Amino acid sequence: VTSSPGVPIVRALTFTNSTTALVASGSTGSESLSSINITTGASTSLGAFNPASVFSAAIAASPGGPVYVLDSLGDEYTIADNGNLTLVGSTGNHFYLDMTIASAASVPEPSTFILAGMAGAFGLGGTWFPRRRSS
Amino acid sequence: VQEVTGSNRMKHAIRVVAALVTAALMTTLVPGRANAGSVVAFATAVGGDLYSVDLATATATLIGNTGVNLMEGLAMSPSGMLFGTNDGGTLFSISTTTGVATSIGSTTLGDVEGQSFKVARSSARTSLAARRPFIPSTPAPPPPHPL
Repeated sequence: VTSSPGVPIVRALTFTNSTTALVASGSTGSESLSSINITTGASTSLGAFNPASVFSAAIAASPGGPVYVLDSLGDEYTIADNGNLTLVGSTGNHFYLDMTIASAASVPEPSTFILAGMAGAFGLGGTWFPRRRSS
Repeated sequence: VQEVTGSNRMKHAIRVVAALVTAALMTTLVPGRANAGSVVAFATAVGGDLYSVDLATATATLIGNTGVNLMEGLAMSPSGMLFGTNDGGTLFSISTTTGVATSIGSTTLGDVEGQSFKVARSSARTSLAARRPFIPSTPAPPPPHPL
C-alpha cells in the first residue's frame, strides 16, 4: 500500500491491528483521522481533529492501549476513534515529526536491572546462607 | 548437627537463575513498556533531534541529533531497530542510544512522512512482513509547514 483514494497528505500512520492502519492526514487546521484497510486499500474517514488547532505528524497506537499524538507544539494527546483529542501534557517546545512505540528489544530497562539485582541478591543470599537442616 | 548439602546449594542456585529470568521477562516482554504504567516512544522533531518520550507522563528526554533536519517517518522493528525516512525519501537506520542516523538508501518515494512495521500474527508472515516497512507515499503539493 502506498496511497489510498480520498486521503489527503498523509502525516502519520500507525497500525492498530494486522490489517488496519490509522492515518492522520491533512494540513494545519484541517487535519483528520482515517483508517485504512491495508488488505483492500479502502479508507474510512473517522473524524476531524478536535480541537482543529492541533497539528500532528506523529501518532502511535500503544499495545492494547490508547493511540497517542504528539503535535507541532510539543503537546501530547490521546486520540479517540472519532478524532477527539485529550491533552496528556506538554513535553516541551518540540515540533514533532513522527513517533513510534519502542519495541521490547529497544527499551532501556533500568527497572530490569534493579529487579534482577534484587532477585539476585535474595537468591544469592539464600545460596550463601542456606537454611540449616538438623539431623 | 548442622549440615549443608550440595544439593541444597544447587537448588538455591536454580532459584537465583529463575528469579533473574523472571524479573527480566516481567519488564522486557511487553512492547513499549519499560515498567508498569509507562509507555515509551521514540520521536523526532524539526532540527533532527531524537527523543524518548514517556507517554504516561508526557516527559521527553533528548537522546541526540540524527543529523537529518526533517526525519519525518519513524518505525521500529520488533527486534528493536529504529528506522526513519526524511523529506527526500531516503531511508535511514537510527541509533537509539546516540540518535545518529545512517543512510540505507533512497525509497524513490519522495517525501515519506509516515511508516510503520506491519507484523502478521502467523509466524510465516511475521518474519516477512516485519522486514518490510510500510511506507505510504505522499502526493504533491508540498505541505504548508516545515515538514
